[in-house]
Amino acid sequence: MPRQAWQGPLEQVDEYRWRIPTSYDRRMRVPGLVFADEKLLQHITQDESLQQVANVAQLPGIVRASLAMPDIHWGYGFPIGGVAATDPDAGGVISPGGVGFDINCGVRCLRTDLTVEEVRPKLRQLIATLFKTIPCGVGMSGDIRFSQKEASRVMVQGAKWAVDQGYGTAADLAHTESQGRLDGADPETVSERAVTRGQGQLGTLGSGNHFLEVQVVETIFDARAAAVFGVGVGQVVLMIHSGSRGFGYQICDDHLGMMERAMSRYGITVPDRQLACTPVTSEEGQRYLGAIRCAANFAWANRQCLMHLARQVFERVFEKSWERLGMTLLYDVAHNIAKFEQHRVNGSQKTVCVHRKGATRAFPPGHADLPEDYRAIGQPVIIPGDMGRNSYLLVGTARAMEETFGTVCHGAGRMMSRAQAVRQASGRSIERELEQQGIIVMGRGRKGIAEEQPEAYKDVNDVVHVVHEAGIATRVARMRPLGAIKG
Amino acid sequence: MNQGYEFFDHTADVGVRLRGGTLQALFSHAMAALTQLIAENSSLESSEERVVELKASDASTLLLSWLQELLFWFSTDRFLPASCSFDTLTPTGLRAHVRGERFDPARHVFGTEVKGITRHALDVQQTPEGWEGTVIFDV
Repeated sequence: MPRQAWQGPLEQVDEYRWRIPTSYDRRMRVPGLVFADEKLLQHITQDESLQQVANVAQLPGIVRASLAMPDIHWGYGFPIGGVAATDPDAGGVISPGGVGFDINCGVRCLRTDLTVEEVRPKLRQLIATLFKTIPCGVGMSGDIRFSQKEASRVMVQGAKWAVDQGYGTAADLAHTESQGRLDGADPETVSERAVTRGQGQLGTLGSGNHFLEVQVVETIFDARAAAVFGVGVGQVVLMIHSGSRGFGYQICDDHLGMMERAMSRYGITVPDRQLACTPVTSEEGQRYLGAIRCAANFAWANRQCLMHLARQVFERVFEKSWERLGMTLLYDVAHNIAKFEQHRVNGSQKTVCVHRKGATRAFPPGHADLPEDYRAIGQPVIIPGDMGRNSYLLVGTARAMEETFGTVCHGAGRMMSRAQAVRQASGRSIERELEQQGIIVMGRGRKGIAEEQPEAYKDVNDVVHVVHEAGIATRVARMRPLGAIKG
Repeated sequence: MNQGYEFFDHTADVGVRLRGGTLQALFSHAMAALTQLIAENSSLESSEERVVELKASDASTLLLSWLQELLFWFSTDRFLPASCSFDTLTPTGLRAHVRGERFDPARHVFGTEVKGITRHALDVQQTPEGWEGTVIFDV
C-alpha cells in the first residue's frame, strides 16, 4: 500500500483553517477541520492523513469536528495530530486507535538556573553521563523494579508512586497534567501480559522518537508568562519524551482485540480495523478506560523516574544538589490520551471523551484544572521539535477551548518516512553534522539517529506559526538544542 | 523482494509487504521482517526452541496473533526468533516451533523498538502465485 495523495475536497475557511465537508463521504457525521497554512498543506496532502481525518469523522457520537493539528501525518487509525471528542450520552465511542499503542506518551520540561556558558564546557560529559545512566534503546531495562503487589500501586497512583519512593517531590505532581494520576484506574482490567511487559521498564526511555534533550532558551515572546514559568534567554532547560513503554503497548493490543470482536454487537462498522471502538458506556469501553488510566499512570510514573535519574546526573556533573541547580519541573503534558472533560458543545456544557492522538491539552488562563501558580497565565504547552532546530513553550488560550476542546499540536510532525530518512543519511554522519552545529547527540543505534535527523521533520517553527496565528496557543519561549540522548 | 519481504514507506511507522509460495513461507517472512526491524542484520543462533499454538478467525488475524506472540517474547525476555517450522498452519490456526536466542547487546545490533503490530492496512490474500500480505508496525 503506497502512499496516496489526498484527492478529496478541502475548503479554505481562513488562512489557517481548512474544512473537509461531510459531503466527501456520506458516512461522515461531522466535518474535518485541519489547522495548516498553504506551505504545510503541501506535505499534509501527500499521504493518507486527510483520509484518516475523514475516517475519524465517522465515529459514532463524535461532536463538532474531526480535528487535525498542523503537525498531522499518516498514522494508523487516527492520524497523528488528530483530535476527536465523543458524547457518551449520544452513543459516543471510545477507540484505542484514538490513543495509540504508546498510551500517555508525553513530554516534560524542567527548568534550571544553569546558563549556557556554565553548561557548554561540561556538555560532552553531561550528555555522556545521561546516556550511560538512563536506559535507552531496544531491549534495555532499568534498575527501578516493582513487585507484583507494587504493580497495582503504580497503576493506581501514577507519578505519586514514584514520589513516594523518593523519586521527586510533591511540587512535581502539582506541575503535571492531572497531577500525574487519573482516577478510575482499574488494575483488574490489565492483563498479566501487560504487567510482565512493564517489568523493568520504569525509568527507561525506549527508542524511536523518544529522547532526553538539553536545550537553551534563545527567544522569549511573552515576558510575563516566561517569568511565571521561570525561563529566560540563555537559561538551560531539559526535555524528556517517553510514555508507558511495553505496559501501555500491551494494553492497547489487548483491548483493541476485545473491541474488534465486540463491535458488531453494538452495530458499529469502521473504515479501518485500527479504529475499532465501542460505546464509552459499554462494558468493553469501561474496561478499556479502566486499563488506559493504569497505563497513563504508569507513563507518568515513568517520566517521574526518568526525571529523577536526570536530576541525579546533573547533581554529579555540576556538583550541586538539584534543588540548588533550580531543576524544578516546569510542566508535564500527555499527548496520546483519552480523557473526560467539560466542554461547550452546541451551546451547552457537556462532559465529552476527548481523544488526543499526538496532540496536547492547552487549557486557557483561569481553568480550574491548572495549578495555582499558572492559573492567571494558562497551561504550559511543551512542543519539542527535531534535534537540530527548535523546540517551543506555548500557553493555552480560550480560543482553543472554544474550537479544539482545549487542544493544540504536539511536535514538528514527521515528513519523511524512516526508510527515506535512512536513505537520505547514507554516506553521511548525522552525529558529526550536528556536532558541527555544537549539538552532541548520543544514541544506541546508528539507524535510529539517521531516522530522527532534522530533515525528516517539518520545521517546528512553521507548525507553531500556524497554531499561534490561529490563536489556539500563543508563543512563550523558543529553545534550541545543545545535546540529546536517543534510544 | 528476494527475502520474501520488503519494507515500504509509511510516514511515522514501518510497513512491510510479504510474499510467499505457501502460507508457511509468508509467516516465516513476517517473522524475519520483525527480527530485522528489532536487531537489523545481527547474526542469530538457534540455541533455544519454543513452541506456540494459535487460533484466529481468518488468515490476517492469525498473522497478527503470530507477530504479537513473537513481539511479546522479545519484550519480556529478549528472545529473538531466527527460524521456524510449522507442524500445522491453516488460515485459522497454527502450531509452530520457533528457534532463536536472547538479545545480547554485546553481540547484536540495536535496531528499532517495535511498539505494536497495527491492524491498519493489515491484510493476507491468496493469489495465483501463493500468498501476499501487508503489515504496519508501530515503531
